[in-house]
Amino acid sequence: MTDTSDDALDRLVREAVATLVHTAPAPRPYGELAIAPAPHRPGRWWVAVAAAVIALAGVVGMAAAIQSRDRGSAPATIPAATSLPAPEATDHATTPATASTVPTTRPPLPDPTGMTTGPFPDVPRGSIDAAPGDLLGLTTDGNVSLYRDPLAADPGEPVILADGFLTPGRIFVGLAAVGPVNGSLLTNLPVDFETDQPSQVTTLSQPGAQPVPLVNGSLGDVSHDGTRFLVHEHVGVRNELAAYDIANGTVTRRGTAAFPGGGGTLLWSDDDRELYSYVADNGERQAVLTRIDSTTLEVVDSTVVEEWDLGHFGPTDHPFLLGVWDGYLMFATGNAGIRAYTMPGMIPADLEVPAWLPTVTNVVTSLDIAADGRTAAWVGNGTTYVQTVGSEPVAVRDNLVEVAFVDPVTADTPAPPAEIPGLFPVDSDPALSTFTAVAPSGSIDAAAGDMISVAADGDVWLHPGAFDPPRYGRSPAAPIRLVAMSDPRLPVTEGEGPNHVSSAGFVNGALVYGSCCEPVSGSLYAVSETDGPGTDIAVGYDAAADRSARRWAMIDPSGIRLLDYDTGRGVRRFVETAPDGSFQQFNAVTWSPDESELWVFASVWNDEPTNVLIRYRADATLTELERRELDRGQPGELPGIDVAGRLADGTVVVSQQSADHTIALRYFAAGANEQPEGPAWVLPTDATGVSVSPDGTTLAYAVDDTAYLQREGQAPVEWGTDVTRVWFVTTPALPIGTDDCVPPPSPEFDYLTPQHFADLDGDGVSERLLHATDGPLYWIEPCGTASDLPRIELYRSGRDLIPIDVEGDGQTELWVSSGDYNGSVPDLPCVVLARLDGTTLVSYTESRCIGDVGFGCVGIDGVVQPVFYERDGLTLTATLDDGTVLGTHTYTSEAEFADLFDLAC
Amino acid sequence: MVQVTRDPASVYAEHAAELVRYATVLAGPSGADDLVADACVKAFASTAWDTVDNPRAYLYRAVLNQARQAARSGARRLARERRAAVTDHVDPPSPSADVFTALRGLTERQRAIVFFTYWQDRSTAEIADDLGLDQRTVQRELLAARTRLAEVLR
Repeated sequence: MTDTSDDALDRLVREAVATLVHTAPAPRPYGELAIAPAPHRPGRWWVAVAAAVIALAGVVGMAAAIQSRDRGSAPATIPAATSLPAPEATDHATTPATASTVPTTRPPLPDPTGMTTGPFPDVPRGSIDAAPGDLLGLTTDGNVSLYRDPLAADPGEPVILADGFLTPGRIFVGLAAVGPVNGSLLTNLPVDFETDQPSQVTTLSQPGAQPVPLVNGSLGDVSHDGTRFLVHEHVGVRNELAAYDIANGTVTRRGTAAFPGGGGTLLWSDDDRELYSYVADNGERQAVLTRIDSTTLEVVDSTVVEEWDLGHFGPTDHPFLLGVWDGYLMFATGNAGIRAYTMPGMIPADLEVPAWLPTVTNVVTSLDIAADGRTAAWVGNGTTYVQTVGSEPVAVRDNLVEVAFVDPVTADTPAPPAEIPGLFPVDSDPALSTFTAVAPSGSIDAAAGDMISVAADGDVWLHPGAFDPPRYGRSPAAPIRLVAMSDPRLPVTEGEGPNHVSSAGFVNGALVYGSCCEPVSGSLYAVSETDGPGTDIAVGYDAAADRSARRWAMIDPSGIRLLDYDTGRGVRRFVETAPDGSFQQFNAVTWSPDESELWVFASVWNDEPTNVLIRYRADATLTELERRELDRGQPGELPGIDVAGRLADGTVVVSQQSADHTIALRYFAAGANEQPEGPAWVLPTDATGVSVSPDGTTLAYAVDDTAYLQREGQAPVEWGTDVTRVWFVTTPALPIGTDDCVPPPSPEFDYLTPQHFADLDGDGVSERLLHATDGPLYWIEPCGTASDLPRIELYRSGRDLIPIDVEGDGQTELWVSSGDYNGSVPDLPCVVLARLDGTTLVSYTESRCIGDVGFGCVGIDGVVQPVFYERDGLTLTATLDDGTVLGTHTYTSEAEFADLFDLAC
Repeated sequence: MVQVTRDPASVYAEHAAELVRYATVLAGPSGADDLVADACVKAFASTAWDTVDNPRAYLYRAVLNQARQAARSGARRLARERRAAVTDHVDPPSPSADVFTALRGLTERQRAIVFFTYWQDRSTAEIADDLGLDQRTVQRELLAARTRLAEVLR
């Protein structure tokens, strides 16, 4: 009797491992590694490349040594490291080199805190109708009101947005208005010294509503394109600057000491790529221009542009920038009044004195200049005036103490997306695991009307137009070999041994096939081109696509998985045994007639073995709905079971081979209800590999290495010889064209697999992408119609190419998942993405390591997109590469994070 | 404070033998020494080597990844296996086909966990730490590995 206890198994495994370990060869001497690592390697890309070149030399040297050992010949010449091409240095600086008009007289100021980017917190949403040029006013009785078009002949009644805005403890520091952002105006809430509440940016979302604090700080200017606005806050001795990106729903922050004298007002450059801070340096009476990159908020440089005349200002006064009036910088100081300077050189200007300039008789208590620099509003002697350049001021109100123009905003923050299925995988069921499912791509032109065969020598062939050309419109053509397999008729002496192809189908021009069943579980592969190399998809031996070929079900000895290429997610249910603990073997999988369920035909081995049909819900839960007993029999007598296909109405056809090798067909309709009768097919008793045509009218099968087709009620017709199995192609035709090319012979380089096909230039013809490597160097080289597209050099080791139509516009973007050994785990955990859009390599993202952050591909509105997961404690934030925040999710425990990041595309 | 030794020669001398045993379980005896050499060359040349906290764990991961990379190159692996079939018959004892078959049915990660569990007697927590995995992942993978091994070895 066989000992089946866990102890016995452990003993067997331990002995097996020990047996294997004792066959380990001796390690190679260290000297043969042929490396001489430097004791210190600064983190520069070219040093990394140099190190990798050294490593390559070592590897090449070892490979040469191994080859020479095997061949017994003299060692091969090791190529000199310096002969290898080096990639061009990539300048990833975000600041364009256009700042030379202002001479730099001092080095960039230090940045003490760095930059962070996160979601726009509590995105305001409201119903306020305001327009640029409207005036926001704080009334003498403490209300904030909106005054539309103050210079209009009939401006109408003001709209009270909030009342009780001022309290005795609040000291107002200046009104500002941005918006409306999503229907809400943003403004400043005064400092409240009674509650020690600092100035806050608040949102006014609807008339009469109380202001809602958004963030600490003071509201700054809006960019010229109206998509971003600034908030700055004094934090200790620093000024923290934040740029809110309304369009993308993100905020970038940088704490910096770069704004001496309190920071002052920041102005956007004409192209919005920089911010200009014109301030006086700390008491030195110097006009200092500080240029700041508006994307990174990093100081570009800081330049003294003028030694100010001490007479302009009092001994303790720091000038501050009021804004731009008629193209001039307008500075204010308590003692010296208002001064005008040209931009950007800050040369004192002889400007016609505007009416809002304070005088002895005109005491200005509030002033704001509209974003266009042509209109100012101020409060002088209790009256509010509005003046445009070249015109006389107009008195518009007499009950305001503070005024501010509504700065224009041209973008709304996108509404939080509806819940994206699978965005935040939940690992609540230990038997469930999730993974990324990105559809393979290829150039194989196959569609319904074609057939696939497995030859007697194991090779897999495509037969274009082999089935009913008039019906399917596919022209018959010479068969094309898709996969070269080992000949199963040859004896196996060692190694994995020849497998046989057990299932096959197409998606995106790539063949997906299952290889059964060595080693043990078999493997599922994808092949991108005819006779091309295969790449692993999963462990398993049977795969079945739904009618769209976008969802695939796969089985292996210990589980079932569902891949949804539309959502980019996959889920696997680990199924160890039958519910009663009996060993069970999955035989075949298919889809229910309505494709809401996966049906697995399995054998359960216990005292009285049974065949069962197990119904799983075809969603992220893979819930077992029912298991229905089909057959019962003693070991050796239980009939084998396989899925032949589905009829036009979805009825599942199952072929069953009894112990005496006779074959029978069974039919299962909706609800897994077995139909007593099916089409009038009478098969030879020794038929194998039965397959049903997509229209349900015809069977294909093999008898003694000869394939036959048989229509309902008719005699079989010989289809081919030396064939062990035939399938009908059921998947839809390719939506893409292909223009293949022959890769140039490359005796020096390796092409990485799988090769991909993507329409990079949007001409409707997919290009083959050669992903090549020469040791540490990696590059992408399109060929075909896009041979004029540039070769893309990757300065880090490329790992995966993922063609994804991110925008869903029919033009494919290429994502390069790349990683080096920078992280503590030298594998997939570190990824770098580059996006090739058309002919331009758009961006490299920073290297991100799975663990603190993750990366996956998620289907959003039917388009698979790469998503980054940033982790903060138990909270994950999912963002797109452009910073768009998709959502956040807080997990309840550390354990829930298990395997969440096994998601790399 | 523990002093971390990163001198490649010293680290290699300390761990090479066990790494080759590890590689043997991952990829078989033929080429295990080459696999370890490749992994170590890359690891020592890595810009991260100077900052690695746990060189031993780093090397085990490097060998695991090298084994995965080798497994992806099916054609090259097949060629190597064929070469080994001619040249490596001198290394007794030869593991039985069952052992090979059983372990080849596992993923590289599962093989690694089996090695740590049954050869080095390391705990789930230690394995998780070495491989940079969650403990539940280690437990799950070990369960799957045992299930598959049971099919072949029993």
